[in-house]
Amino acid sequence: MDVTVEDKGKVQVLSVNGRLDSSSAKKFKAAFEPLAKTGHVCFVINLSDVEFIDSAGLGVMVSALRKVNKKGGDVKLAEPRDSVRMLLELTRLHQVFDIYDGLSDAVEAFA
Amino acid sequence: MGERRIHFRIESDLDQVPLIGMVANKLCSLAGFDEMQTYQIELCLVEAVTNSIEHAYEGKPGLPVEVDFILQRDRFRFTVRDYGRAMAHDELNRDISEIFKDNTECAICELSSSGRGLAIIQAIMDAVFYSSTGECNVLVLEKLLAPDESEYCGDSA
Repeated sequence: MDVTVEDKGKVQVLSVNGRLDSSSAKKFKAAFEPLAKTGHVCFVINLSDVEFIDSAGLGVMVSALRKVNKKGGDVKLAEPRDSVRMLLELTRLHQVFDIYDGLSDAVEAFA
Repeated sequence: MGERRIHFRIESDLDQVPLIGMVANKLCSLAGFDEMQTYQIELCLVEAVTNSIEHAYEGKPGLPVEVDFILQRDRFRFTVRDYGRAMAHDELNRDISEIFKDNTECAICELSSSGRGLAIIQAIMDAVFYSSTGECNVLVLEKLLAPDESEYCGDSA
């Protein structure tokens, strides 16, 4: 699994590729936490290339949301595949994350 | 037909869990499950094996986790076996709707970042059983085959 970070001004886009699970969740944290520590609070997680996600993957996204929400920020999700969307709905986390079909829509939602 | 069985053994290393997931994915696809069902079953196997490593073995490496894939006439059965600490008796009796509760009024700071794995398994699989002898813990997951999938598993075995 790889995470790439793109600076879109006040919004940080984390694009995740591959499997976001218990073995790779630490890589996501390693990408997210330095950004959160330097004051960034607006994040989009680009899920378009996530082929598999489990409860640990959901857990790191929830943890990220909790962290920035305390500071008035948000984590929005972009372009989840049907399987990822299914899991978000099953766990009812679609009620706490704003989910967008397009990456640019998710970024612009912070404007 | 007789059942078809494949046995896998991995060490308690989270980096090995995707191997079991990928095997589950391929076998379920061959058994006739559709793409979403295949993903869901892979997810359940990954959750079950991860539970063995993180909870039964408390993250200790080098210990055995065994998985049997058993294709029967009308169902696919999966057993996940470890030799670590047993799960509490009431873990599988928890109300899923309490774990996956309505989040519309939920404060984000109250959201848990863990504890969803078993509930996901219970929500997806048709049957889930757990037994422990004290030395060996076995989690059994079953997914029923649709009638046309059952035909696939018929006389050719």
